[in-house]
Amino acid sequence: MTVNIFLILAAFLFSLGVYGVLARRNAVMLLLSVELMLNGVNIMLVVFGVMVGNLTGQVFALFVIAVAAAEVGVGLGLVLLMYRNKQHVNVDDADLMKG
Amino acid sequence: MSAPAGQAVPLLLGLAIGPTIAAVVIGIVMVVAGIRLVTTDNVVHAAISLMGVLAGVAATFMLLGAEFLGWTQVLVYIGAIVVLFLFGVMLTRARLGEADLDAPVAQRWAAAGTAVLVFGLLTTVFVKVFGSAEITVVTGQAPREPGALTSPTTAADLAHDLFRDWVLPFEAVSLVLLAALIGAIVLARRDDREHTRPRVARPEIEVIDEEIGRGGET
Amino acid sequence: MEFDGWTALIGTGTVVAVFVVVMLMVILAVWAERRVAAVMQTRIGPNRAGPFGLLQTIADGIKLLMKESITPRQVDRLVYELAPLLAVLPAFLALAIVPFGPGFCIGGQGTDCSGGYFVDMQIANLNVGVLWFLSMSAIGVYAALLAGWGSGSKYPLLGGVRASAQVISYEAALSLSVVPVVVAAGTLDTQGIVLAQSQYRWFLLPLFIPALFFFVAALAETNRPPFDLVEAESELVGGFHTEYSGVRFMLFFLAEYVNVVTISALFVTFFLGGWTGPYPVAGSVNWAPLFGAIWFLAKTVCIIGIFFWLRVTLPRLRYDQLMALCWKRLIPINLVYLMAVAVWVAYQATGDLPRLVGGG
Repeated sequence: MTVNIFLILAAFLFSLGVYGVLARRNAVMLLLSVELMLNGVNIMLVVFGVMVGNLTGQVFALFVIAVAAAEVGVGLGLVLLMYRNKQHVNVDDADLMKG
Repeated sequence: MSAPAGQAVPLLLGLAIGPTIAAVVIGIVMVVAGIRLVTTDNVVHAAISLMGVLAGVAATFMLLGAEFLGWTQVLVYIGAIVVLFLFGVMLTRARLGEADLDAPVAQRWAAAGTAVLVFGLLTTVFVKVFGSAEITVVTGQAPREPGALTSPTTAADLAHDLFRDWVLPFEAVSLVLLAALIGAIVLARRDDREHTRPRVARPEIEVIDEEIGRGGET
Repeated sequence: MEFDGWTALIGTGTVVAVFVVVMLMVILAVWAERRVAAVMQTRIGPNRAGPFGLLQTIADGIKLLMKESITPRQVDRLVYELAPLLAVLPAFLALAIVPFGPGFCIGGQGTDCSGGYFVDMQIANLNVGVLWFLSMSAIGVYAALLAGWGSGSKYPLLGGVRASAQVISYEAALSLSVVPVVVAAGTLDTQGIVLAQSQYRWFLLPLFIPALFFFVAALAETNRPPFDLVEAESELVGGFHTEYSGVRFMLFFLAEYVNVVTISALFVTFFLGGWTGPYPVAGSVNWAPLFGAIWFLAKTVCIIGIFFWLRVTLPRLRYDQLMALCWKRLIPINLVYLMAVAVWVAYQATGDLPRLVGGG
């Protein structure tokens, strides 16, 4: 089996994530799209690990999963805070720091 | 005593229909779920689609012989992260079919262009560089052959690599998790002033009525 | 061993056998729970359908199948339909890694069973069996969460949010009480965990605290009393499944009892030595696998009995008590215990205690 199937699939997931991050305004949707990108990268890591023939790819995929959990925890904390202060989670309106 | 354990899932996936076909089927599921995820108007449906994608990724891992990683994916991603998302959705009252989920049309076209560009670039690079690379996924209980690069990874193999070569990154990740834990608590905690302010006691049900915004109907 | 027709047949046979055994246990468990509760409360309990009311469960099942399955107007169709399936599927799938007995060999010779077929008395002999079980119980959260949200009604929503918060919290406690077992046995494979406990070295004694916490977390994980805040009738009508009726309700009901059976079976596997028992096992008699299965089922029934007993005895916890118990008691104590077990295992392996604890 060629690695191309997996790599193209991973690239597709990553691109979908890119689209989602750029085209959505709801903060929860943004976070969901980021997860898509992370998973695309994870597939690539594992495929390349298999090609190289050692487990480094898998180890890094494990790290990515752990960091993703942390990211979602903090990200949703921020979303909740934003909702509490603004009653919505639209990222375009989170422009308090704009000059 | 017992037969060599551990090949059941790759065996089912691989030998029943062949690894390539299995990969294509999983891929189609993931693509459909992924597209739905970035296009749907409903946040909960988006989270369910993400579940589909994540399950597909887990299956891909298993197909590639990374069984431990696959189940970790199910346990952590599907079992915890998406649940957190659904919690976030419920707590931020994302209503059904809300229109302002998406950015303006122009921005969406730009986003689509960027995504296509990224996809084209990545695919070109992959095909040019790795186009001829082949991997053999060892399924079933066949012995490891010289040409076969993967065979189901046991948790012990992974642990050896993780705790011998990657101890420092591992500790760093644990520190990141701790920081995230504290950060999330600090962020999500209510302000102290809110506690000291006398709050009018309201029945839980009334609050929920507002949360789902359908109090009048029931 | 090749993959051919016989392997497929043996695999299918195992699945069917496990399914039949578990369904029988579920049917009896539903009946037994009502009878046990009745005896404890000096009532009579169901005694009309069949001898001793044994067919009561079947009668209830038929009733639920015949009833109209109402779909309320305000539901989110996709989510509403998905929830009962997500309740039942993980419940049954988790059973796949329960070893009901020692494997045996048909038609082959020697310890590696060459030329014959090796039959595992479990559906899937995964080398990450424990992880599979934890994954499945993690997926089980979705049933309550999606049912609560998809119903589009206030009581289910409240029940669903409560359920998922509870199950996620106790999921952590459950996992942490399994980890000492994995460390002590040195494997994630359930059959391996059972074998590590042969010769009566049951993990119940050395790992008593994790065993106790596993049981408590299991009660909470399956939403059984005294942790059934999810469906506290006096507060929430029926909890997350208020809006479900007919077959869909039956699926939730079925899932709860399958979960009870599964988690009892896993308690036996992790802490009570699985299918090992006093009478010949491990090849000395031809019928060893059968005896193994009998020991296993007997132990499982005892654990299920404790589930029923606690239901009748204990009052329901308050929500803050529930969370405090999990996060302030179970998880920290488990973590400390895990460290102690890890140090002990490492000491057994290396015999070098001072270096392990940071001295020398």
